Amino acid sequence: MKKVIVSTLLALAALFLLPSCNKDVIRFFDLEIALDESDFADGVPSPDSYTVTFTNTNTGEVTEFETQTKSVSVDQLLEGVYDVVATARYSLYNYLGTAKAVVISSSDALTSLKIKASKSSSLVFKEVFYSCSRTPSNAMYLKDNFFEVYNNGSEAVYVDGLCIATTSNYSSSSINFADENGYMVDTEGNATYMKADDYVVLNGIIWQIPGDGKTYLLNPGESFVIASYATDHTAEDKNPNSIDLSSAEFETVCDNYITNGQVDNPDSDNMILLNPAQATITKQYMPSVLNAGFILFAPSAPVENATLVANYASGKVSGTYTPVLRSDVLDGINWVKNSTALGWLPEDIDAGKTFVSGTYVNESIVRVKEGSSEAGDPVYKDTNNSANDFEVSTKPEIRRDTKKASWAK
Amino acid sequence: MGKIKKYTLSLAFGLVPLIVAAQGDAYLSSYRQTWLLSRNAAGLDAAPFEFANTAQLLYSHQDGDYHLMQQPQTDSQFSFDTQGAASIGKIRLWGSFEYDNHHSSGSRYNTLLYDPFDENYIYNVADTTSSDFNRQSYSMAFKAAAPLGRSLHLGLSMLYRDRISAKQNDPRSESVSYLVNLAPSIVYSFSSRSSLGLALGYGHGLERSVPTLSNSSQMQNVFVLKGLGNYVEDMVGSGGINIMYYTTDRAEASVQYSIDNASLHFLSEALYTLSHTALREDYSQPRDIGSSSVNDLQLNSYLVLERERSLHRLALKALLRITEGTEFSTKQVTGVGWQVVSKAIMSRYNTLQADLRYDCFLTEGDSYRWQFSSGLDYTLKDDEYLSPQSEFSYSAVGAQVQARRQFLLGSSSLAWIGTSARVRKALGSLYSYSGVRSESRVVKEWYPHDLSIYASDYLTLALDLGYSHTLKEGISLGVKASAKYLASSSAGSRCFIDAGVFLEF
Repeated sequence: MKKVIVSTLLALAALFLLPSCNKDVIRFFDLEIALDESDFADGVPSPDSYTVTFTNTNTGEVTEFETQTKSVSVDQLLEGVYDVVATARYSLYNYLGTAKAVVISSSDALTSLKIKASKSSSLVFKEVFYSCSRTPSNAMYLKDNFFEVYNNGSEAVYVDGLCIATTSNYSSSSINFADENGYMVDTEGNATYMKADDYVVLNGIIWQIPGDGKTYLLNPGESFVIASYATDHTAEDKNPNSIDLSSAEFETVCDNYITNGQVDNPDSDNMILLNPAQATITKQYMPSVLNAGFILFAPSAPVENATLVANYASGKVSGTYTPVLRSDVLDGINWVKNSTALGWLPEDIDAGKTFVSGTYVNESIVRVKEGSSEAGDPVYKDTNNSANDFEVSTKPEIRRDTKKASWAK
Repeated sequence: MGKIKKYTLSLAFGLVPLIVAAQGDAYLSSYRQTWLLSRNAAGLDAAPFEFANTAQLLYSHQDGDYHLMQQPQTDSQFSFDTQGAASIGKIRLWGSFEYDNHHSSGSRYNTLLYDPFDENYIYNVADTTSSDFNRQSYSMAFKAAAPLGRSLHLGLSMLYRDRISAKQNDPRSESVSYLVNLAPSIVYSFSSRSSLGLALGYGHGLERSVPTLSNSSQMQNVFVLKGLGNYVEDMVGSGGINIMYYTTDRAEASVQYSIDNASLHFLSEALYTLSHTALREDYSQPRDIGSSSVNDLQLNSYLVLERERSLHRLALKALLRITEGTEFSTKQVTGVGWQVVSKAIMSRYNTLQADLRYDCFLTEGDSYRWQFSSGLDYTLKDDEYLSPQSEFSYSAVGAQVQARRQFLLGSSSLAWIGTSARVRKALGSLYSYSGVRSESRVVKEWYPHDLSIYASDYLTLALDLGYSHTLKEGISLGVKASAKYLASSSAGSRCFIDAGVFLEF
């Protein structure tokens, strides 16, 4: 009986939906995408396999493929807008190919993906706690964020002079740093002849590790912690739900923060505040709990002397930003509010994005362990794609599975 | 929009002082007015113009576990409605005004909308918080008809509706909406007292829903729904979802055939309505999310036979609804904003409803002493989401019987008591979901719960009472109350009560 009714229903439907035929029908496409390794320098090996992900930017759904060949075949991909990312890791190299916001509306919408190879940085963010937490009375607690940096390589590295900072939002339609010739413009609107694609611009203040160049040696398997406030946050007068960061090697502290209640921890070395763009100093250091592009970089020239640049969207000069060479960037992470939010960083720094379940949820992002070194130290995944490289922990923890830094007190 | 509202109010209230003689028993009178049930205002001029003018103030309350997830556990409602008719020269006028004020609690999975069950709004936002909801609605309708020569009649009907709702717990919202509908019509009367009518209509509406937080420090997770368990995660709060604008345009066309004489009133109407609602987020950086097209084909027929001491009415109503949900793929372009790059129909919801009802009144003069009613109804819902393939369907049949006795108390008062029973039998139900959200609360909690409501059999028993007193000739004041209890086979129960005062004049 039901079948008869449904059939009648559909026949009638066909009749009075006639005007809407042949429009807006759901479409799927088969794709064959070559993974183009032609830009590899001499001596760079070809990886055994690639992981290729298609992230639908409207639904957040991710379709993942593994391929042992130099191409990837996709059957029946739903029409839409996709971020396509191919990653691999082999020997000392990371391999990355990206195509952002590709409109898949035909089978030849994307036929090739240029792969770039770069030597793995040994220094990576191992755990980042940006979401902050809540007190037992459900008040938001903003002071307990931290960044843990790990030596993921096989050589010891001095970390003196390394910097951390938040970048501008490269996904925003109202942000553009290239003029018609591809150069950045200074704050007066003049061409700087610095190619926009060679730089990533910073938004706000920068924190730099002190030292004379040979002060802080980080051995393989060791990590150090940069806390916004290196104190025991679990104290009764703070937030028993939080974490003890009193052993952090560094803290971000300045006069303005001390005026607003932060107590300088003498056992934790203070980061150096750099503010070439003259950004407003707030009450405490707290990167966004929602969306950020966050980088670790080793400046090849003093940041204070950088030529400041401006946003040049729609040909109008606005804002003041600090440019950093992309080749100076050691690691970068997009953290975003959810699966459909766009990442802030250029895709060659982070081709993916990661997110926790909300704000002030006491959750951190933790780099995925992919093996161990000959010395028995953990080796963490580093494909420049935070969607693959990080997972969420509901219990933030410093120096999880890692050794303290050689200089740690 | 303000001008339209002002003029509509003036027309609706302007009718009240024009209302003339009493029309006898309003309840019985309403059964004869078949043209008023149609979309064709011109028909008011093509049949006897006998209307009862009424006004009533009602309080209603319902409570119980038997409710869909987006329906409240408890709901209290105050409502006022009035309607009246008048003739000015050759022009016949009818107008109505309704006001509803709801306070409900215990509903979930609706963050924004006044009416989440309206298939014009299949792209909604949901959250898991159990919340109170306040809703108010004003609705004004107006019909006018006039002859044009001996056989032609022209008519115009207009509807204005204004609604506001506010969710009371984070993530909360305030939603305001309006709908305007205009329908000119024409009727041609044959000499045999039969008539043929045609009405065309256009409507436009907007619902503006503002998601907000009372505690701005705590962002709230929400689901931007796409249908049958498919959704996109988002948040309410700084950086989260923006103001949602639902813009509706609707067109309708209907034809009517009617026969009216002293002992027989017959009207049959075929009505097609196409309603298209587009959802856009944030007008400053607009992003088109999707649209829904609701196609309604309705066939309604009424046959009223009047005998010396009885009145019989047979009503058949059938609805075929096909709703298509179209999702937009958008891309952010530097310096331009969000651009729609493709559209795809991802949802198709089918509804079939048929309702047959027979009423028999044993009459005495303008009033009745007994009413016996019976009815049968059938519902089939068959909803599909195309990729990932998901399905939600159910079907059910229902039957009801009713009896009511009206007593004359002296020469100026009357009272009634009535009772009714309804039984519904579910015939089948299914929910299947094949996407990546299979562990989400939307898929594991919401849809299974709602399916259990649709899939359960139930029995309702109801009792209604009333009393009215004639204050002077043609003006009666009365009170009425009713209670209903619903017991389902597997999904709990629900109680309904209402009480109010009414005036016939």
